[in-house]
Amino acid sequence: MSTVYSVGYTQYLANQKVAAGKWGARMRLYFDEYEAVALAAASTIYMFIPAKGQKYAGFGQLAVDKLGAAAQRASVGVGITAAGVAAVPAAFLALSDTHTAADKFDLDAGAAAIDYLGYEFDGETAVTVTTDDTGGANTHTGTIKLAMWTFFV
Amino acid sequence: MATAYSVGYTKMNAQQKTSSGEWGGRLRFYYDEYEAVNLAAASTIYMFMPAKGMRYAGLGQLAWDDLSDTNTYTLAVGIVGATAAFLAATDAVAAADKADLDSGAAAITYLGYEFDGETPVILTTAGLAADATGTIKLGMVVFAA
Repeated sequence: MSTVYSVGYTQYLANQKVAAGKWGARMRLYFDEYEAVALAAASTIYMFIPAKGQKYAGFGQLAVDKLGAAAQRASVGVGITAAGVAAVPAAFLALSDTHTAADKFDLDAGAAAIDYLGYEFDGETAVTVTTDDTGGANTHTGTIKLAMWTFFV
Repeated sequence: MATAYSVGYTKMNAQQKTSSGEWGGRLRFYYDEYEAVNLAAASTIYMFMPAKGMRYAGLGQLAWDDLSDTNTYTLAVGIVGATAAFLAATDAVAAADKADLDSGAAAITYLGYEFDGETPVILTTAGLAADATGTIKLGMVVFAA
């Protein structure tokens, strides 16, 4: 058995100051909404741009109206995109079913959480909602709301 | 049917001041990470030390790489003496993943748990082989007056 220490704890034991952005960081909530009216099946909705230095805290919620008919396979994902950088449309939430009923989804990076817990925004990267209608071209109509927790120094 | 009042609500009804740490507490976030390299099977990882007066808000997340090939390799989140206070031993084998902190039946004890400034939050590992390699990240929300 061994006892080991995190990056910050190692600093703490060395009597060094641990970054306030790690231990005891302040939190912010980013929130916005979009009213979809016959939005094209595969669309990208830009929701907000977290300020430079904000870091993803691992929590958030996406709420949706019933966006399409039951026969559709409407879905939404939450991710990021920035100019000159490959978009990651499902960084914070994989495509989730929105054609059955109004519902909500807690953000969940799944296997990518090791990359996105603590992900630091650069002030130029937008958080997006990506819509889809797998194999179809049906449009989306209804309200979409997204909230995301971040932390910072 | 009865109407009853919480501790703080009772104070309000008595025109006493309700603690701002309970009604409208400010949130803080503790976050740190550890890079495991062939970490021993049963190990303790000290992650962070919440300041005195910080109280657990019932939210947090643990994320990990694919750490081990051992079928029983697990991670738990807690404090010394209660190693699973915030998350029971959770399978961390075969794939990267995350788990939201969950005190389960002990939530009645740990929701609102007040840190004394001397109690670190720790990860406890368990498994058959000493081969854990990869990144582990932990975030936890606390509140304070």
